Amino acid sequence: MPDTCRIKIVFQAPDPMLRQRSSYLVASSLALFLLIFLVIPVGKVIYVAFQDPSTGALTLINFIDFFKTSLFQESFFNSLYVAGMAVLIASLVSMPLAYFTTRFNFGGSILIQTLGIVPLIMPPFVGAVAMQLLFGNNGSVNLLLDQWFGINIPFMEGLNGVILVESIHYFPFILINLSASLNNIDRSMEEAAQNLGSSGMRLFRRIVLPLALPGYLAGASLVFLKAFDDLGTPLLLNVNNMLAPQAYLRISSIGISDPMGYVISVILVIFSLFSLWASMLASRGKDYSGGGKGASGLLKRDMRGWEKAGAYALILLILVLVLSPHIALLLLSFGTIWSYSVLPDAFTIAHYVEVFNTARGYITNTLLYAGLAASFDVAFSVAIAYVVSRTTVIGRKWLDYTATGALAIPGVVLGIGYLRTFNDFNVPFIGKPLAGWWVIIVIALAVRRLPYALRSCTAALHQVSLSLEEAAENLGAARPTIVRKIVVPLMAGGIVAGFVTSFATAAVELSATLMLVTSESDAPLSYGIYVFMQSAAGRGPGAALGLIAVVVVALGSYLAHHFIERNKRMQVTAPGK
Amino acid sequence: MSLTTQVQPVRLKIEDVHISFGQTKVLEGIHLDIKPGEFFSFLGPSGSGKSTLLRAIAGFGPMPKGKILINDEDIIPLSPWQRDVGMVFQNYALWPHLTVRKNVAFGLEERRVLKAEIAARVEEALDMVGLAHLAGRRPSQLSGGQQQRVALARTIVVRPRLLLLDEPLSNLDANLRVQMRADIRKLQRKLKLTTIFVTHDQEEANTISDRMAVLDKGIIQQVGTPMELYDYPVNQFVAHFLGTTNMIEGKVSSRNGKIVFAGRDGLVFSLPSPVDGDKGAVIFRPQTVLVNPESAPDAVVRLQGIVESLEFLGSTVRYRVKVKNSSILAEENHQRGKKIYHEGEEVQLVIPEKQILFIRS
Repeated sequence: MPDTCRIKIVFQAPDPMLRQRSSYLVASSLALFLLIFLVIPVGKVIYVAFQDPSTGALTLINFIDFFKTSLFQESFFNSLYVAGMAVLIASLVSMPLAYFTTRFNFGGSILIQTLGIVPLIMPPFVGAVAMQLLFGNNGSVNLLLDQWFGINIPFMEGLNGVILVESIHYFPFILINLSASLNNIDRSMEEAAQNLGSSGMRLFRRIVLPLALPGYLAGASLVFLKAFDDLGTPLLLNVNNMLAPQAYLRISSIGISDPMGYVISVILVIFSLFSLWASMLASRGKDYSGGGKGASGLLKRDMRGWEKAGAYALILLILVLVLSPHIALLLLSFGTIWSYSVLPDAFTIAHYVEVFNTARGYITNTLLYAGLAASFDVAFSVAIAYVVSRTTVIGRKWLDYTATGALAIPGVVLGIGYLRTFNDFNVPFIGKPLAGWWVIIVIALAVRRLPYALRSCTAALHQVSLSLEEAAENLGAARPTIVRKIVVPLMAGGIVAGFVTSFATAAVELSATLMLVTSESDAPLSYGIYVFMQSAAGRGPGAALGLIAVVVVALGSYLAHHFIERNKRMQVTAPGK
Repeated sequence: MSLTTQVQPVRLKIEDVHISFGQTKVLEGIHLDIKPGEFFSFLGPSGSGKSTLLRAIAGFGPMPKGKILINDEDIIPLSPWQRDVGMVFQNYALWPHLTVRKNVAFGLEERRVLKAEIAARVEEALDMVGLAHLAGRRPSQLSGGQQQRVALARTIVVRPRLLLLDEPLSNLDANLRVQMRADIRKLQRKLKLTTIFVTHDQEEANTISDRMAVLDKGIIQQVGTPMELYDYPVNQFVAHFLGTTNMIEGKVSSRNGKIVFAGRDGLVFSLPSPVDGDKGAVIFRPQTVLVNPESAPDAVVRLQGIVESLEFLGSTVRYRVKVKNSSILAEENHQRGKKIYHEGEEVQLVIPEKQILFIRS
């Protein structure tokens, strides 16, 4: 036998100890970061809330003081009322829309689906002032109503304004979740009920509604949480008797030693945790989707003539309402003077010119901060996702829980926590406390948006079949090589989507930013909008800045969607799990 | 009213039913007459239209053309919830938010049955499927077989006029499937319910049905008892779908007063009796082919061939024998010590003439 070829097999036996050690190294540095910039600051806030301001002993006295003060009582109930009403109105808007799109075959469905995303691309505080010009006491709508019917509806009066703005902005959370769960109901669920003699409203009430409930509750609890925590909207509408503004005002006017800011923070965290817990509870063990077999979604039917007319009328009404902040912002940014009139007196691009001349710093800061924060978020998320699903590090689940837990920490609370924790820590060579350095804003943005990137990266990693990694391992590749050459490229779509989502939402973050900005030159776009909107003269440029923010977020959302879809298509051609 | 109270089972007639999804025709010219109390199966490959036909009887899917009659009443104008036709879905379609008891009670509640009676009838139905002890559970806490039984109980508890079963066994593992199929059959006998069963598995259809219809490409190919269809398929599709078969295409001619079939590949068979037409195929099942028999009946066809391969299937051994240009399958019962012919061995195949069937094409 000729000795022509000899196959040499080299087993690059990965040292299991070494592999374990590097996993632990990565995991512990992730844990350390979360500890320093999430757990400790929040823990500090909670601790201070229970501390006697003069003696430092643990006590409940601050909470007793809180509930004894009538302003705080009022703020507490106002926040609850606003969040509850926002959920109610958002439900009233989204329920018919979700039902129409899932039950009927008609062209309006696509319109509604698109429409449902529009409010999300604009943070509520951006549109708040513009909404006042449209719906306020002397706003366009009331001027017309007065002219035609001699009536005046207090849409924007006090808490009403906050409720209106929050519900218009956050109803998509309910619409999206509810539509998704209606679309996931296996069609045979409804058919089985019909087969047993059920139909119409009875069938809807007994079968469809209970099956869609988890999705609705998930959306509703998000709306509640967002409306309850929001700082920018009430501040801009000059409604100060709510919890988040009170926390901000106490800390910014009285100082970081005032215990009330901390008590309010604890209450905000409790309610956020509670609504997140409620949404988890609603969806746990209730994955009612059909498991892929057979058709899913409600039985669709065509609309009759008058039904179609009614549906379109309703959609048009909601469309106008949903787009009103955008329209108002657009008018405001191009208008010269808009006061006591239906429309601005004249149109100009002066505000944009002014913004580009004087406020460019805000924009470049935003691009820098949001860019850094989002880059950090995806790197961190890939690492967490990998550690959680591909290693055996003890306590790895807690990395996931902790990072996701950032969702329950309102921006105000994180801001207060950073101020309290890092005020005494001077950064070497900078000569400033860490709490006053611009980098802390980036860290705050990164921590706040980490859950978004994490969700996206975890989902992407789940799509990468373990056998693809095992195949690489079988051919002799070591862990770092596999991650770099196989895992990350396959996750690319999810990573990009995570980056863009984090970027777009970080670009318009206001609450933590508001607490942490120490000088105008370090301030990002959202802060700039807030400052401009404070004065009547600044509204025009503020609106122009707001519109720029909307464009940034819209572009980001579009790109995120694009990459998610592309990733999905790529996964389809890859072999099944 | 107990579940087993005797009621007159219904007759189902389907007259010239056509169904299409948009432009695509799914079923064409369906005629069927299903007798009262009969256990009838729709058998066919996926895409044959069998499920569409079943769903049309329940009132789901596109509006059919033609008539579907229950005891001479056309039910096509009726909504699904007015038909009183019980259906067990392929995925069971148990409502996850309701307990087993509530699932089963649903149809009775919709029929405004009195509370006390509902409780008793639910109990009885669950008892009948052997699940009375699980009434308080949620569907997600049950195994596949148990879910199947709940789905069955939920359907029969309302005493529907018809029982429709849409591939009810396809999601169960093999052993459970055999047991469930016997149980369903027993239950159907007890309830005397006219039943239609959809399946793509010929063994399942053979064992469970009184009669069945074989469907392919939206057309009923043949209707009959399982044995009739197996022994006397009217076309090549039915012959193949009901089991492995040898088939040789060719022409019939008359030679010296005898009727002879000349296969395309040079094989010649004498046929026992005159046949319709001249072009077609002869079929014979592998187990009718004898390999090197010690004795043979009188009228036989003898073929010389060489063993190409053999497969041991447990109860039988299947030989693939090369005869001229054809491969012929022969299946012999297996028992210990029986002579086995190996690859390359020359064998004589003997086929009794009456086992050969000519099918016109």
